[in-house]
Amino acid sequence: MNKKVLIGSLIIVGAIFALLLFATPGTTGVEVSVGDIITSPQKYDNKFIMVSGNVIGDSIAWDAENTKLNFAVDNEGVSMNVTHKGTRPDNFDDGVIAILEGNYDAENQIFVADRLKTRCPSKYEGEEMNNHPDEIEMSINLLQ
Amino acid sequence: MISQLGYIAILISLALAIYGLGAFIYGLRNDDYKLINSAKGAIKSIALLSTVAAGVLLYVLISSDFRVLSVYKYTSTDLPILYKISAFWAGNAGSLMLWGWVLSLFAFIVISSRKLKNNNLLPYVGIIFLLNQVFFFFVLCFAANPFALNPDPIVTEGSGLNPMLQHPGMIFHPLTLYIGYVGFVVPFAFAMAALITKQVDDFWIKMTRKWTIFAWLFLTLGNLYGGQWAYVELGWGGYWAWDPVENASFMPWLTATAFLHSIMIQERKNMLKIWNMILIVVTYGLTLFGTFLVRSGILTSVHAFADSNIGSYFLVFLMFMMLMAIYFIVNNIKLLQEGGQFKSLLSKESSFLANNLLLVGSCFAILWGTMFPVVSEVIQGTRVTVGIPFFDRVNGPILLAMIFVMGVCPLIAWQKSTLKNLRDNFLTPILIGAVVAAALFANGIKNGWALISALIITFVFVVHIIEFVRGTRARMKMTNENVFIAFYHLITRNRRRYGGYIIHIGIILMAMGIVASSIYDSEELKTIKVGESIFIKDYVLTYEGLQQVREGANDVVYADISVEKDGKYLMQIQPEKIFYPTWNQPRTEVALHSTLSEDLYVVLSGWEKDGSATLRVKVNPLVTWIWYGGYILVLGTVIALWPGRYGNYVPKYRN
Repeated sequence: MNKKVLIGSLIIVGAIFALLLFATPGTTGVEVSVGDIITSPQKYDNKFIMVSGNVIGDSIAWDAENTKLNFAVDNEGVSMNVTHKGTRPDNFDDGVIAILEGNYDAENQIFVADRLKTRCPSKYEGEEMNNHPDEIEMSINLLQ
Repeated sequence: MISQLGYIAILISLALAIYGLGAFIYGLRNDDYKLINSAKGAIKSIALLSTVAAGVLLYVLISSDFRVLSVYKYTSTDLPILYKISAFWAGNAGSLMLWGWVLSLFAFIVISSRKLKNNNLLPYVGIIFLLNQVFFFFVLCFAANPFALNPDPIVTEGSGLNPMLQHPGMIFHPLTLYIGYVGFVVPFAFAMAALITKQVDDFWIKMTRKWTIFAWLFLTLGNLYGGQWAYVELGWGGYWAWDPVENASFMPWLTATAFLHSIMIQERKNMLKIWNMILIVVTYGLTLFGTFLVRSGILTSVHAFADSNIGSYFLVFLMFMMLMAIYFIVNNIKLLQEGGQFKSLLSKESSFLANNLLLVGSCFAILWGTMFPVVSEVIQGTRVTVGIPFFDRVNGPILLAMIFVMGVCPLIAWQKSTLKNLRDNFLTPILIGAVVAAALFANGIKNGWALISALIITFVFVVHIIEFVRGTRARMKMTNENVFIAFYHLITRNRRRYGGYIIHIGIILMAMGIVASSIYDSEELKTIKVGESIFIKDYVLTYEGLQQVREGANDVVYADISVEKDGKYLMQIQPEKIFYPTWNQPRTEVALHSTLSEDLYVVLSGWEKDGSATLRVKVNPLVTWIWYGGYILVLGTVIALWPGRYGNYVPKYRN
């Protein structure tokens, strides 16, 4: 192959690899479990981490004035408090899997989630929430 | 019961696919034309049977036959009919049925093609199609049966379709995406056939060129519809989050784009044959890989649905096909190495190569970011997460460089160009680009990325406009046609080239929209009382109260908001939350006011007993450019695909 073309190609490929190498450290975090955080909170102090857990329905508290969502998640028997500045997702309920990214505040024992994403467990293979369609009221006044 | 008919149809399809496979293989080995023809017949029968199966599924969905599990899980009697239809692909089994059905239709069309009637590639193409069909119908019959029965057959109402899917975007997005995915089986099958029969010249490319562009068009639409749906439906204010399932559909698009460019080089110069083989194999593999990613649960994503069975089936099939493809490529490596060479760094061929390297590089970077969590867990034990900044930071420069190459390429001649030539053609467009960038700078745009992007995008735009102007002028001189007719004939008589240029213009409009909306979006998130206002950019949004209204079977709560812009009253805007009778959670309906310059995007996140409402307001510049760029892209593709004379773009180089 033409030498200049080969060198040009290697430059492009090299630049892309360099981009990858430089971008990876600063933009990646670690995914841990709720249990990891609770047993050794200091380990993750100041580290940006991702953790997921099941939302505990009774713990959901929405602070409208400050647009803060406070709740607790559990995973394999261990539970953790979370606060998130932002809105409450539409499908936020007991049992929904919350995917959190942020930092754990060991002093106040609460996870400060910068990003909150949710997913319903096995949506494709349908373990739907307890829907009893035959019994749902057809007309609701929702503004009460 | 009619659903049993559907199951029988796919069962017989599986049997026929296995038969057809055997018949092709034995027929080829023993030169038995009767067997080969009967295998072709099997492919045609499978098309008919899978259409019957698809028809049955549609019938039970529309007639709300809840004895079938899919119908129970994804519809309810009050669902509008369009969504009863789109519930077909709402679930795992249904979407695989869609894949199998489209695959069978495409196989039928290829096998019945008149051009290929007695071509010796056809049995091998048929084998590849049947391999795919054996896999998909096996999964459908035994792992994800769309006709599975409801264990509770006397239920009178269904669970209803997830409200997020009750949206036009979710009708088009899966359809177009799957047509795109399956479309690439065709060039892949021909590539394999070419390798097996050792006919690795450009015949297989010529035969599948239109399929490649057709599949690419639908893959593009699939990605676009996905982004658009996310934007107007999910309510977080954006259209792309580099989520694994999004990456899964974007990666094959990148390699497919590289492929459809580099096959032009093979047609022209008979080179890059190995590269083309690798590209189509990778593209085909990525379509399967993406499906595997989404269904296997190995990645934490809002879309990943853990069903390790189907995931492993996909992985095994993918590995099998990839190993087979690699075997055939390696077997023919000497044959593939023959052909033309790069004669000069400054040539159209090299610019195509640069474009290819950047596209594949971007795909690799996205693959890296998507798979890093899995790989790091295997190697290190800790699972690393890769966030949006990684993908933005890596892809930004690569895609921008690609757009730059898109502008340089029309300026360079085939084979060899001179620096002087390049400079002459380069100067005007780059100067105009610099002027635009300077004007933006003077108007307050200080962000480095925005300025460089504006310069490059303008440069590429001007280059393409000049191509049209020059071409029209030259034609007017030659034929004495007036400017409109000359322009029209220029395009219609060089459909591939000018269709391609129109596609490029669509791409750069989209690029401009993406750059502007990524860098200059603004957001406010506040809970306000009735009568209070939110201030954002030059808008004042005053919250006037909450209302509730009935729409069909649904209850809708909306916030009535008056919008002022630059001090003058603009309009009322009403973001909603829709409550469906068969679903626990409501759906957000974003209130969108789109203009060419920006989108005013308002979401009603929630409300309190005292009537105060939590509102998320965004102003996103130039988002409409993304969608309009998409329409222009479609126009360009239709032009490039249009049948008839004058299709040929690439003059064959005769030594």
